[in-house]
Amino acid sequence: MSKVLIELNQITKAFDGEIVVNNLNLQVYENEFLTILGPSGCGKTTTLRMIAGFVKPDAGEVIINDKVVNDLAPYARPVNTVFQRYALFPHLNVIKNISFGLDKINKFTLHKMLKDAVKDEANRALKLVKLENFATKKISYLSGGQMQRVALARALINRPQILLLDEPMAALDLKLRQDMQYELKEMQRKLGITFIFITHDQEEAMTMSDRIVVMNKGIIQQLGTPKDIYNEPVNRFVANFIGESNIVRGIYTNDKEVTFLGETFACEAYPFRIGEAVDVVIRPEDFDVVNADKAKIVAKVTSCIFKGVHYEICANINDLELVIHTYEEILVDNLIGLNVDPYEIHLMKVEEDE
Amino acid sequence: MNKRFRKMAIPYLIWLYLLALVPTFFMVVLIFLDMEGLDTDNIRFTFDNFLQLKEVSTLIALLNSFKYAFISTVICIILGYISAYVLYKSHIRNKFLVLTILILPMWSNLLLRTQALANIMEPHNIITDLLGIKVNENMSLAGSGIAVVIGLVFTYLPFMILPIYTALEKVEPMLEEASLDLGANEFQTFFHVTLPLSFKGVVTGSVMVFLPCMSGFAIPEILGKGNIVMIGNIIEQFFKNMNYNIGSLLAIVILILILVSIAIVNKFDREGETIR
Repeated sequence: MSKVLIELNQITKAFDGEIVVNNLNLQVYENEFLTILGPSGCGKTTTLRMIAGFVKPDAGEVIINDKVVNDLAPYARPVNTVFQRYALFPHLNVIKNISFGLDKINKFTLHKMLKDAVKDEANRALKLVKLENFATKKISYLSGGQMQRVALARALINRPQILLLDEPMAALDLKLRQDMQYELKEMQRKLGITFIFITHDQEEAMTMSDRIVVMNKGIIQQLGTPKDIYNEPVNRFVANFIGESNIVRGIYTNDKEVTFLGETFACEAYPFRIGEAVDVVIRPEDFDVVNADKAKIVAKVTSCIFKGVHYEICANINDLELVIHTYEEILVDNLIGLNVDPYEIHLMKVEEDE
Repeated sequence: MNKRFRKMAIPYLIWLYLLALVPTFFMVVLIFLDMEGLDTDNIRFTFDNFLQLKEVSTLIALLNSFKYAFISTVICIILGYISAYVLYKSHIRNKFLVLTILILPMWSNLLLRTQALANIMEPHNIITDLLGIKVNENMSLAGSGIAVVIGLVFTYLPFMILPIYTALEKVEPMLEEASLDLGANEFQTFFHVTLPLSFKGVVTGSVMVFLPCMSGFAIPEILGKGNIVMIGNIIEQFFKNMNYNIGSLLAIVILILILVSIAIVNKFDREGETIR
């Protein structure tokens, strides 16, 4: 892959004795859309703030462009941030907000850009986020979506190498959020800037990212492409956090063979010992519903809810509840047979503490 | 809901009419009359009272009032902003307690406080007595303009700190972070973000300091020892000598000046909000 732009080297941060980020290692590449995904309080925002320079790590190194920047002030880093609640300046209008970063450069460096150049640049940024007619509007007159665009334009005006986005869409409604996802991805591709995006919304992460970092309790749980993370979660946390999953305890009874729910199934090869206990992950949409006599697993339907595109069925087998997505309605109390293809069975190592 | 709450304002309205508006009205009437004390026997309608406004003593007092109020307000802005900013930026948990301590002197009587201050400014004061220091008699501050400014700042500084602190509290820390993030250093961030966003507190505080500084008479009298005469002292003298007519005239003139200055500040303040 391309050049490493940011490297987090064993960084640790604690607030009031509570460890928020724990010995974290991460490499971010040039032109990459990386998403840090995790529940609130998992340390994702703190990680971002350490990259931006607002928080200093207790231990470890933040490296940008091969330089350790632990002690570098935020304003000296090639990084700009889109803040969670936008943090627009209420005393400045839209265009002044956007050109804030350039105005500073204009006044305090030897290379004095002309005021017109700043104006042009700000107008270009305004155009980029499709707010041409809002230049002199007051911030308080803008809608949430517009504020978000202003925040984006403002952060991009300094042409940062890295753009950090701290849950920028949390305050937008669903439709707007989906449009924005597409636009953001487009923008990142066009500008060739590295985006580090923070969210707790797995769908957002899936749609936009080149790679996803799943974080929990200050530790990276898994790092990979959206596909990898969805299809091959490494542990229960990831399996549950990304999409819905059925997780059943099983035994790796033979090479390419796993036993769970009292039956033996073919699966793909995993590096487990024969006879080792494993967690079996099956996504709800990976079950094939057939007649009860044509399958190894037979379960009794306890509920069937229409979800729009599909039905969500809960079925019981040996007091264990399975969630299944189908396109057909199945009445409660019916017995159904469930088949799973070998490649749709994913096995995980059993974690000690669970 | 709103109407019911409005009823609760009735006692205040009565208070306001009885003790502020009615007396003001009588003062306006008194301006155009000439009489001895409040004796209604030799009452006479006249415009002569206005001649007092041309008197050099009145003009000097008025100038003094503006001068000392202005100097005190500027010093209060500087000291008040620094104190409020330091408190706002500090990591002290109980900032409310610090604020309470700052306004604590206001709990004691103004005259007592000023007298105590006057005493300390004397060459022989309680501190020199206790420490047994020999002081040069000429080093006294008492009766000087500096003494009056010190007294005014000492008395009215809390009125500056409180509104500035309140305004600073409302500045979201995230905005300062955004400014740092966009390439402005701490110094630029203060002047482009923090100061403009807390400027309203400075304006409010300035009004709250400037007005009592200008119209007060106790502090210049006690600390100035009669050397510095402000308009408040002149008004007091006229009322003391039972010349209610001229006293009223000067009081009303001050009132009008104050109202005009508040109106100007308000206008400036509102513009500052929209144009920026």
